[in-house]
Amino acid sequence: MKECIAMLLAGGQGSRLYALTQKLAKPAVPFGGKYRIIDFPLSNCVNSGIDTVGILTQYQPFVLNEYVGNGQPWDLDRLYGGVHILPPYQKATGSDWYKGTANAIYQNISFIDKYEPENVVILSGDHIYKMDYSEMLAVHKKNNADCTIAVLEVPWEEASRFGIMTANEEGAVVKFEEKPENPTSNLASMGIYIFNWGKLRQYLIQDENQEGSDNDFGKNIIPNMLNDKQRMYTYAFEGYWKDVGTIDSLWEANMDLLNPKRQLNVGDKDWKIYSRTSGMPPQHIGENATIENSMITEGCFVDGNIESSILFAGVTVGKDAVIYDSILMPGAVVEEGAEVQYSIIAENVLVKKGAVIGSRPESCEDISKWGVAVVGDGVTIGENAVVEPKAMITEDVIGGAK
Amino acid sequence: MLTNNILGLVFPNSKDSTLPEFTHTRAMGSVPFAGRYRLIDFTLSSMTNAGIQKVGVMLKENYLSLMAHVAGGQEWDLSRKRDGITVFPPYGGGSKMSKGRMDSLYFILDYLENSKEDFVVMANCDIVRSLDYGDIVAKHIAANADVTAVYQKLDNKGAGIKDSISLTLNEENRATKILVDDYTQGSQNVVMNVFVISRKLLVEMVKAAHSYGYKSFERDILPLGIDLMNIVGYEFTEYCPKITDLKSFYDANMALIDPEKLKITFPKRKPVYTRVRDDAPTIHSMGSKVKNSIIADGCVIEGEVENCVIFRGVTVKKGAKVKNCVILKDGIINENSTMNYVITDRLVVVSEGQTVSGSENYPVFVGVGATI
Repeated sequence: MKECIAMLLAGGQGSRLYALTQKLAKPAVPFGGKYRIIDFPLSNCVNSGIDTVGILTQYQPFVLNEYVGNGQPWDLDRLYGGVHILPPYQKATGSDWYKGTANAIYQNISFIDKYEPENVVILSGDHIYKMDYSEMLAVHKKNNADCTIAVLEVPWEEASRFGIMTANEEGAVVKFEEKPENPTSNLASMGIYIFNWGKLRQYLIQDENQEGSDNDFGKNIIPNMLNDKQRMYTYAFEGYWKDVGTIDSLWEANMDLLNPKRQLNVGDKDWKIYSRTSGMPPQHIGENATIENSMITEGCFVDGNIESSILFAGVTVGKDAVIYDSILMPGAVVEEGAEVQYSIIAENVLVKKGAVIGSRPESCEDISKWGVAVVGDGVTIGENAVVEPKAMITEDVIGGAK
Repeated sequence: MLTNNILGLVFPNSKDSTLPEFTHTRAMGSVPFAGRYRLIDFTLSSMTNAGIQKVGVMLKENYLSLMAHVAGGQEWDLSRKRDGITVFPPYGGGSKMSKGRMDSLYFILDYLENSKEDFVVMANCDIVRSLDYGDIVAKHIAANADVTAVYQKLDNKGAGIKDSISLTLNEENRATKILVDDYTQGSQNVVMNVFVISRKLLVEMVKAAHSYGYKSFERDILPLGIDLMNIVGYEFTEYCPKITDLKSFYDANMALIDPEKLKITFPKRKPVYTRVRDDAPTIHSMGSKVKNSIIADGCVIEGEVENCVIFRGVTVKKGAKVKNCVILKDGIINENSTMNYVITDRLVVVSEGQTVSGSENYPVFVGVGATI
């Protein structure tokens, strides 16, 4: 029997990350120099004392499966509990893909039942934040709640992009609106829920039998429970939280790591973010390198000029190459004299000599055409080729081409 | 040949005496190296990369940090249900305390006798290169050798190569003489303290050594058996520094600033595994300057670093200038301090405005946890 287990929704395609999620699911997208997005909820779980995590996968699961493995890097290789990858599966009565977030949990009721948990925390694999779920669980228990929803105050002008909760003075939810046009509150749901398992189980079965349901937590389960006047509470979270579902937000969240104010400190020894490491030797900084305001990790060979950038494991930057305000994912190579600005360069990309990728917003004549350039997994950018800002490259670009 | 036909035996305390600065608190095998490794990582990773699945680690003294590092062997994929790693603490006490390699092997005679592997690789932790044990054993078999000793050619310019065993080899590559600290000038075949031997022969040797009172494998057993056994040399011709004192430790670290040496010491396809510490990536702050250096994760660099090897979790504050130094883990170099040719052990703090300086041929050593 477990007090609380976690179910992590990691099946999303992350279609708004385009070139970055062609071959892998969003939670497996590299983040912050040596992590992948899923490291944040997984590390939060172990740091909060949750030792049983089911990961629901569907879209391009291979990279994610291999990455999570037996869960050892997160200390989640356990005799009773630990981490389990849960893809959709064939049953005696037929088979189904996961139709929605609630259906994904519904299809794994027997997995959860096995642990006889009192509570289940539902997490998603596309947020960057550090949070102690055990504090949220304590509040959930104190309120004797059926459901507790983590909420974050967002600027009023952005409130209509989120699921908005209206709560009374005790924190009880009185109203929930999905992306309201005229929000009456600025408490946004973070997509983190703790449910009493018995209650959630009942609502999942009821929802499954409901024809025309989207089988979604935000659209169905939460409104249904609210209609039935179940005990639903908010848990106000303060601190850094970012949905990294778009190229811009992914780029910004990475850059937040370089913010000297460090809203997001991945170096906190009391709340480590664990990851499966590259096992590479320390970074090598060459004779000609200049580096400022950047994060660099193991396996890198840097001999160029780096400013306000994040270099993942095994990145090579040649002499006189320029990397400004950019993210270079594992194994990327930028040859001599190439320029990379305001860009996300995916894994194992080769940027050949003299190529130019992206630009600063100031140097763009038409600012509406400016944006972060993205070069997808394994692409080669030929010698002296030019990749415009905001471009989304998924195929090789030959030398000299634009 | 199936590579799991090899049993690995590691001797992390061997050669402790050569590096007293580091080894008064730890075994040679747990001496830190290259920013994030310990010397035993090369030996254990070579074994794993050769497919060896059964490894015994023979401890003698000062083994707390080594045991914490090796633990269950999981980082080297040696946490196995079948076989895997076994760490043998020293056996016996007082006058019964083991006195040499043969003596310590006598205490694990059951382990040796009950192993199924035909061959044994015995290795110390005093070289900073991975070796291809699979190839060494294959050549051992092809040469119909009783013992294979891995050696490198070194040039003796002075009064003998420190703490060395050298082989005289005939044209068939068979050892005809084994000398300790040979004073002969010029090129010598210096043993790298890696030996291959058949397991059954080793068991016989251990029993005989116990009865006759011989303690050392390379100083007693090998010279005595030189006419009886086919002792064969295996030359390692690539770059491979050996740690024989503080200066060679310093030089071997510094050599890695040459990117080619870094790449051959840590080959992509045969990684050197080590205990993971989950540090964040290193931060190069606004105004920092780093040149010609190797830096591990978890560091915060605000000042200047040139020609250095910096271990995990080191902080170099604003205005600090660190040159030609090896800074071990979690060191803190405070504002406006200057360091040149210094080796600091872990957790050393250099206070604001201090100057610490050695010279190229004599780097200064600062012990564990000292505050300057």
